[in-house]
Amino acid sequence: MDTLLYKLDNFEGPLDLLLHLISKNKVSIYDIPIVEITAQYLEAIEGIEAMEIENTSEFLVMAAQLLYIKSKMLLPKNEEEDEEDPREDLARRLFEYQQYKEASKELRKTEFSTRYMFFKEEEAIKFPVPEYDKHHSVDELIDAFGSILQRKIRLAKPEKRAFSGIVGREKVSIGDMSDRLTKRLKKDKRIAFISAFDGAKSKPELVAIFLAILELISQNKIICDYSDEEKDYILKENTRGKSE
Amino acid sequence: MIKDKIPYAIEGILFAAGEPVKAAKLAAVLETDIETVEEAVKLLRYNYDTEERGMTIIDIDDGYQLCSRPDYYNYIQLILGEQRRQALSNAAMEALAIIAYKQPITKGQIEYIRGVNSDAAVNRLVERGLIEEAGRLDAPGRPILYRTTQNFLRCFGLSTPRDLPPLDMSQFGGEYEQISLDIDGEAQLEGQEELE
Repeated sequence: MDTLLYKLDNFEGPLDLLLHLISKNKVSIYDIPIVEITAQYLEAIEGIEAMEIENTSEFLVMAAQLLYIKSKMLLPKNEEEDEEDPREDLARRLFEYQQYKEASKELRKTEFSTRYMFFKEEEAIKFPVPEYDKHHSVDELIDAFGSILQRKIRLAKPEKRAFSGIVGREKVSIGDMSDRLTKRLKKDKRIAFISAFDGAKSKPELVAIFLAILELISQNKIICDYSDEEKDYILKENTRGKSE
Repeated sequence: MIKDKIPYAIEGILFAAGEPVKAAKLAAVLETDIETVEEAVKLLRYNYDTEERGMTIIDIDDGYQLCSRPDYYNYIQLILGEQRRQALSNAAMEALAIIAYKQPITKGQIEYIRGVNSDAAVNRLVERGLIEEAGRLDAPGRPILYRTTQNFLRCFGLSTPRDLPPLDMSQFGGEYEQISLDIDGEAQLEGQEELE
């Protein structure tokens, strides 16, 4: 096994590196010898954390993907299952990337087609701006000022006393909200995001409901999907076993 | 407008406009039809070329644009200064190829194809006036769609994105054959089953 020093800078990314390895090994994208290629790939990116490479994370993600594919291929195949080749997705991606890599080489040839031609810029035509000439009365000005004042008063910081009703320590249990939501979902099957907040009596309650939704999503107990027709997010009970 | 003068009227218009002018617009303004306009441009070009005149007319995006003849570049640049055009990086070129063949397309889709983050490349292309925003995709996040500009056509010697050569992928084997651009500018893979 020759040990070539790879200058990772020369590759645009993991797909580029893989294409290079595939071509070097004289194999086809559609039948990658996964064990061999994975080994070479890992060797190529050895010590990448120490180098200052752009896209380091993408190289590492690909390493993980290769290992995953390799492990799937090493597992004994279940005869009843007709699973797709675990390499298929990668092959597709490599093929597509390769197309555009070739296309970019072609484009490169014509990059400076009009290098020796000069073009005149668009004419900057200035349209005269008509002077403002409408008439107003002083009363209109006073009214305008008046509405500004009112707006300022409305937007002014409220006095501390005004908060006493809200910033009391109201305790709302997220668990309660979570239970309430789960029960509703069992009954209604699907709830629009907005309506999950119906009946909330205070801000802490709104916040608790929101946190409950997030908690349920992270526990995979509910799913949140966007619906094009309703232009809103829809909450549903998660009846599937695994997370997606 | 006397028919004889139409070519010269066009010459004047193209000079003043600077930017490309569509044939249809010329026809409307000169109160004639597109064929006459095309004939007129043909005549102008013939005169320019046979006498090696200082300018020529190029086809861009269904329109015509006047520009200086490359033969005289050396003299013009002595007066106006060198047109210093920096070459694009490979990353930018890849992103540009993807956008050119698949427009309109989002940054996310570009990144999926390239397998790496493409922020820098895309921004660079926007800066150089080679791509522009073309609305947003109707999907969560409403990401920006990109397409190539007229300037792109000009720089790469194309008159429309349809002039992009179809890629011959037969050398790479497999069931996947050619990629080509259809009328709406979307890349399609010919001769293969649905991938998903």
